[in-house]
Amino acid sequence: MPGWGRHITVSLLCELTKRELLERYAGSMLGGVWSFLRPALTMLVFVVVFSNIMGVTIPGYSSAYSYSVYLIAGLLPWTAFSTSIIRATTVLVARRDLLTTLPLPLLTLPAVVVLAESVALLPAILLFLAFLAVTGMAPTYSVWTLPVVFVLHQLFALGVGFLLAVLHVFLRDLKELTDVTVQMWFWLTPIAYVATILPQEVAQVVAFNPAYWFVRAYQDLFVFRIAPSTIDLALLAAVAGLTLGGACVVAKVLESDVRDLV
Amino acid sequence: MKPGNVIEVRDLSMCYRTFKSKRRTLRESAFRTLFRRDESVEVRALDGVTFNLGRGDGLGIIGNNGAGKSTLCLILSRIMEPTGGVLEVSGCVSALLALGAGFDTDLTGQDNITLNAVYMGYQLDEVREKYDDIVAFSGLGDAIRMPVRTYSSGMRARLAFSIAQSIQPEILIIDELMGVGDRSFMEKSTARMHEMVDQCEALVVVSHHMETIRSLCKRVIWLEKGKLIAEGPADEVIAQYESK
Repeated sequence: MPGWGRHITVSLLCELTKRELLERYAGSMLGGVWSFLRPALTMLVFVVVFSNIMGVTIPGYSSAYSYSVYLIAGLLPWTAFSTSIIRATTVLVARRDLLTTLPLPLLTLPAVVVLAESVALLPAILLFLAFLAVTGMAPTYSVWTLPVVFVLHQLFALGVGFLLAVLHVFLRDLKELTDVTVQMWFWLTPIAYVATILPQEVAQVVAFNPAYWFVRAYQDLFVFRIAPSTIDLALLAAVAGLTLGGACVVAKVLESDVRDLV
Repeated sequence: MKPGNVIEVRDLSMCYRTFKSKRRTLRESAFRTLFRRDESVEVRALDGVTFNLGRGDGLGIIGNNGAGKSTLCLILSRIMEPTGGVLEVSGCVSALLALGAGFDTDLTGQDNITLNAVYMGYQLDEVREKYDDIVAFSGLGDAIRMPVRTYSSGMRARLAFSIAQSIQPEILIIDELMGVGDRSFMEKSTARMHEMVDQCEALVVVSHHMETIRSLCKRVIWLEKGKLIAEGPADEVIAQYESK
């Protein structure tokens, strides 16, 4: 039975995510086609520039497309991850009208941002898989772990994004700080380069970068066509669970102040 | 919670913190932490309020402007989180307050019905079931396919009320029992409110009309500046309030 009270329902998440995605291409002539066209063009640029013009390859992997594949494998999920975090950070403040007039759980709005970014990435992933299949580099049966890794990755993004969103209510500088930090985080994660080129000291730091644990799982899947081990998956699940759990605890403690100060 | 009670409120307080400047930047926070100069002003909207509401009861809330009546309603409907005390609610609550909250004015009336209904806890298939009734009640006709930004404020209020009235809650919270819209819709919505009041299991009404309170509520609480001044049978408390 419907009624006012703070709970997230599946219907609420679906409807808000749908609205968010519809709004994205509202008024454009091609509409949803852009969600395929944009990643397709981006990938085409990478392939042409890195494989056909610059001829970059990565060690231990012979295909002409190796660097492009390596780059895209890390970059696609990173884009969803970083955009989720950056947009989630400001969402509580941006939609304060909803928080002060409806009994909405705080987690709802960041969750919708992350869901929308996740769904928005699907066309790109499908295109990438199609490209791999056409060039004879389709991932083996190991591909079944892809959805698992992706869901855990986005739960991790939700944890970080939710925590930042709650803190952003108290500290508006977090908007800029997050923008800059996420950029630095990108370069501390071996996405555009391979980890082996890193100097010893930096490599030791990067080894503790949880974002790299996720990215490495994608690179294993797409580039080296091996599934992450059960231990790796458990590690990813732990990272996602602890971050999200921690964020929820912080939000619970600060909730009345958040609703007051937002 | 004692059996038979649907709402229990113990020592509830709500403290708004208003900052002199709305913007809170790193510089300000650092300044405040370092020099212990909190620039905030605290406003106590509720201060140690305690009461119960039993099944089948009607509770009236009276008091002058700024007494904390609306804040109490917002807390009971879980829009706001109290800064102190305990609040227990059992049963489905619906609040006829802040009507039209969450409307997206760029969307059509149709889309806003769905959006608003899921905010109120509807499942999507329940929305589809109720959809025709809501449109019919609003009497908006073809305007339902237009963006809400093109609506007059009366039309918005009609749409909002039509959505809110589609829930028959166990616990109903009303801030002033007044209909909305033009004259004919006003009559229709006031009648519907009375119907909802009749059907709910417990009722909380805020009103400045003592007649309304007398007719609906056996018990009344009187708030003044956030404090509970008196609680008891309606006639007694209202007499105290009026002789003040």
